[in-house]
Amino acid sequence: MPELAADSMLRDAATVVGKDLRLEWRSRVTLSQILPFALLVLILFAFALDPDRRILEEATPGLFWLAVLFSMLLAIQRAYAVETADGVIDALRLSDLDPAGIFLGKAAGIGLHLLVLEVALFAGVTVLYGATPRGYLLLVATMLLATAGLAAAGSLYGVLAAGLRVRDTLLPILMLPVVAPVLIAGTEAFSAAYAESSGDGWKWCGLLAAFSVLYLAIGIFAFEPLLEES
Amino acid sequence: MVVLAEASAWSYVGLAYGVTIGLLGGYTAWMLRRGRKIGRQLPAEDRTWSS
Amino acid sequence: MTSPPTGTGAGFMRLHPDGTASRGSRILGAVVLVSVVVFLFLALVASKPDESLDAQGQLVRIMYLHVPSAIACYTAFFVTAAASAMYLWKKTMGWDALAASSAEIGVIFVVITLLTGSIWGHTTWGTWWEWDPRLTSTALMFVMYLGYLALRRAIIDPVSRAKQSAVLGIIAIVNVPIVHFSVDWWRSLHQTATVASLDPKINGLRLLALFVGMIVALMLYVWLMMHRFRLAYAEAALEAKGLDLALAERRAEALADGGAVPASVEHEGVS
Repeated sequence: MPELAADSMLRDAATVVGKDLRLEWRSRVTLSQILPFALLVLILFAFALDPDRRILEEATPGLFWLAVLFSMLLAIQRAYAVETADGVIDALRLSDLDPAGIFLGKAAGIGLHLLVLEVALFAGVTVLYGATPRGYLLLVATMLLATAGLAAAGSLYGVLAAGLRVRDTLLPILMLPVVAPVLIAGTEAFSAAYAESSGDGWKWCGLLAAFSVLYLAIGIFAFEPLLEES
Repeated sequence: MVVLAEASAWSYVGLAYGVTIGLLGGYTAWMLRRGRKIGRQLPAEDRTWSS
Repeated sequence: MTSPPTGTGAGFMRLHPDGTASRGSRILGAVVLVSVVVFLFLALVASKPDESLDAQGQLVRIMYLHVPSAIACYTAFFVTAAASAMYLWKKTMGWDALAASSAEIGVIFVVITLLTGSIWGHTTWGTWWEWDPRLTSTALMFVMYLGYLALRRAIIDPVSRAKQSAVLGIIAIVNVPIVHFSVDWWRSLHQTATVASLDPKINGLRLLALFVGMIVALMLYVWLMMHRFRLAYAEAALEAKGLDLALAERRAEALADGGAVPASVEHEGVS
C-alpha cells in the first residue's frame, strides 16, 4: 500500500468523527441532556455560594472549569455508550480502521461536544454570574488547548472503562485526578483573562498545550492494545 | 513556628509511629493469611518458592 | 486437602506449609525485623531532638517515617510501570502479578506518607490539612493508584485485565510528574511566606536515623513484594486452573452492581 500511515490515520479519524456527529445529530443526547445538565450545575453553584456577596463572580474561572469537568464525564460516557451498546466496538475492532485513527476520531468527537458545552457555559457565566472577560484571545486559546487535552485524555480513559459493568463509577476516579492539571491551568489562565492584565495566563496555556500534546501522543500509541481487549 | 510542649510533641510522634506500625502490621497480617488460604487451594507443585 | 509438609528447618526458619514464605523471604524478614528495632532505637531514643534555629523539636522524628515511606511509594509505582511495560513486551502473567503487587504495596506506603505528613502538619500549621504542594500532589497520586486497583478488580478476564492495567500502569507514572509540577506551580502563586514547608534541616545522628529509615523502608518493600507477588502468582495460577474459589469474591464484586446493563454490553470474560 503506497498510502502514508498518517493519511490513513486521519482519514479513519474523519470516518469515526463523522459517524459520531451523525449519531449525535439524530439522537441529540448532548444538546438535550448534557447541555442542560451543565447549565443546571451553574445554577446549583449559585445556591451553594451566596450570589449577593460577589463570590460567584470571583470564583467564575474555577466554577466554569468544574462545570466543564462534570459535563465532560457525561460526554465521554455517552461517546463510548454508543460504541458498546450494539457491539459497535467489536465492529470497530474488526474493521481495518487504524486504532490511532479511531482514537483521534473519538477525541475529536468528544472535543467538539466539549466546545459546544464550553460556549454555552461561557454564555451562562456571563449572564448568570455577571463575569466579563478582558482578554478574549487568552480566553479562546485556553478553551481550545484545554479542550484538546480533555478530549485526548477522555478518549483514552473512556475506552479503558467502556464495556465494564462498573464503568459509570470507574471513569470519574480514573479520570479526574489525571485532568486535575487541566482544572488548575484552565482556572489560572481564565483568572488572568478575567483580570486587568493577562500576566501569567499564557504560561498556563503552555502547560495546557504540553498536556494536550502528551495525551494525544499517548493515545495514538496506547489505543491499539486497549481496543483489542476492551 | 508553633512551639509545642514536650509531652504534646511526643503524643504526635507516638501517633505517627502508631499509625505507621498499625497499617503495615495490618496489611502484613492480611497478606500472610490470604497467602495461606490461597496456597492451600493450590497444588504444592505449583508453589515453586517452597521447595 | 492437606499439602505435604514442605518446610525445612526448625524454630524461626520453619515455614508454614501453605504460606507464601520461602527461605529467602524468611532470612530477609529476620533482617528487616532487626533493622526495624535498630531504626526505632535510632529514631526515638538515640537521636536528639532538633534544636536548631528553625526548631522542629521532637517532631523531627515524624520525618524519619514520612520521607522513607514517600521514597518507598515512588519506588513501588516505578516498579509497577516498569513491570507493566515488561508485560506489554513479554505478555507473561508474572509481570502482571508484579505490577499489581507493587501498586498495592505502593498504596499502603502512600497512605503512610499522607498520614504522617498530615500529623506533622497539624503540629506546625494547626490544621490537619494545608495545601502543601507535595502533600496535595501525593493525595492525587493516591487516588490515581486507587483507580488502578479499582480497574484491576473490575475486569474479570485475566488477559484483558493484564493488558488494560499495564497500559494504565504506564500512563499513571507519566501523570505523576505532570500533576506534581502543576500543583507545585499552582501553590507557588498563592503560597504565603509564613507557611513552613516539610523541609527540616537534618544532620548528624538525625541524618543517620533518616538514612536507616530509608533502607528499612526499601527492605520492607522488597519483603512485602516477595510475599505479595507469590500471593498474586498463586491467585493467577488458580484462575488459570479454573478453580473459582479465589475468584468468587472478585466476581461477586464486579457483578454485584450491574444494574440495568443490557446483556449485550457484557464484554468481560468473553474475549
